[in-house]
Amino acid sequence: MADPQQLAQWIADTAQGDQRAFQQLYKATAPHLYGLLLRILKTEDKAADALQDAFVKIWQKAGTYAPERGAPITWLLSIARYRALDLLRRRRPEVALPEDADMEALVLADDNANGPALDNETMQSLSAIQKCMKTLQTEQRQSLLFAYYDGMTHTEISKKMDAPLGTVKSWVRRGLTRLRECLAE
Amino acid sequence: MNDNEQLTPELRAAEYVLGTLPADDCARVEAELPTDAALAREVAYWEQRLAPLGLLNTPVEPPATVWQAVQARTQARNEARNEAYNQARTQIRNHNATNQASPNQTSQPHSTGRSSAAGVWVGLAIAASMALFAIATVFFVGMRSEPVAAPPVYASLIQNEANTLAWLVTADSAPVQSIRIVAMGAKTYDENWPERSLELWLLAADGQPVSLGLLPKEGVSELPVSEAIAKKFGTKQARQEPLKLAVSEEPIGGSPSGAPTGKVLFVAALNQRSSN
Repeated sequence: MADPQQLAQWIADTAQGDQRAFQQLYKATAPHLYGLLLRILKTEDKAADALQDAFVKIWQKAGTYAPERGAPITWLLSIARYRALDLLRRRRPEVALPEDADMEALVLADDNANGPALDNETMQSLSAIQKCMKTLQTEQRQSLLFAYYDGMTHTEISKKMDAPLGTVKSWVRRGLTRLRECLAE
Repeated sequence: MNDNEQLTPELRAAEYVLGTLPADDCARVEAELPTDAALAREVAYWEQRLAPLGLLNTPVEPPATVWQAVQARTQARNEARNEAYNQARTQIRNHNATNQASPNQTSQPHSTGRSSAAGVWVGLAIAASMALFAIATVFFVGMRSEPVAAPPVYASLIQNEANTLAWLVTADSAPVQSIRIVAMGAKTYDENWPERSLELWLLAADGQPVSLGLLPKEGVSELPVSEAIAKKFGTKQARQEPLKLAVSEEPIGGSPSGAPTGKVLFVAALNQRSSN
């Protein structure tokens, strides 16, 4: 993936209506966004729809991106992920839990070896979050990963992990609090 | 710990980013974000910290249709133009329906117009200029935020016989500075010319085709026209016959020689409005 400065430049040019920069931004980042969307939404159709909506939003909102508030890829991934969550929430509760929501999220997030080629800055923030994830209690970590990678609500995590709702909320909140302490260290 | 555990402002922001906040709370957070700096800071913090997790997934090349759709939705400069595009699409569909009912208007089959890939006969369909300018006027009047409100000076409708593919080509001024193309029918385009570009030519008074650029598959696009090419449009007074546009099949990126190299798929009249 292109380095953060290049991505930020493409976003800035996109804000000026530069279609070419927008296309380059798309080429460089769409596969990353699509990978995450497939993971959350489980089907190609839904992931493709969410990706389309996300990039239309990126085009519209490019002028609001502020480099000092975070890396470009973070901003792009957030837009895509929020779109996926919107789509998930809208069709609940009619749709049953996906059967394939397994522990892979955990394995993947704990695995340090096989990420895509990333710049140093992104690599550092990735190792930081992975390191801190490992300091959480197993249930806390699993709850956070189900929420992050599968877009699950408290209730869904509670069914998935066969634990009371209150307990799950507690896992999520304590997990987040602990994560924040660790990230600040 | 229990269900009623206090949700602090920090945790509320964190859960918003994580996606575990109930929908109505999410809506509240979104409403407060523009005015609550502390909340915005918290949300940004978590977005920044959690986003790297999103990069652990293997990147997957999305289907090409996604970019085409994104392009179609963003190429228009603003919402007004998007709206005008939809209006134009409807108008052209309606127009096509009427045109089919009375095929003796100026439509005629083009002798060499058989597309290689699907064996679909393509032909030229020249719309009666009144109907065409009506369409174009609807399109332009719809663009309220654009400086141009007058109907275009030049207009041409290029479409296939099956009415599954069309380009509305217009220009706002004489001499021409740029041409605008509204394209629809990406599916037909992809089916027939998956690895090809379609190039638009002006058949000038001297008979020499002059390239105007590549036709888009879908959406609205604007092609600049140089002064030298603008001269080739000539003047209505001096013209013996109506100007014509042609479309040829070319390698990706367009004709390498500056003249059409592939099959000529469409020829259509380029109508010029009588008065300015």
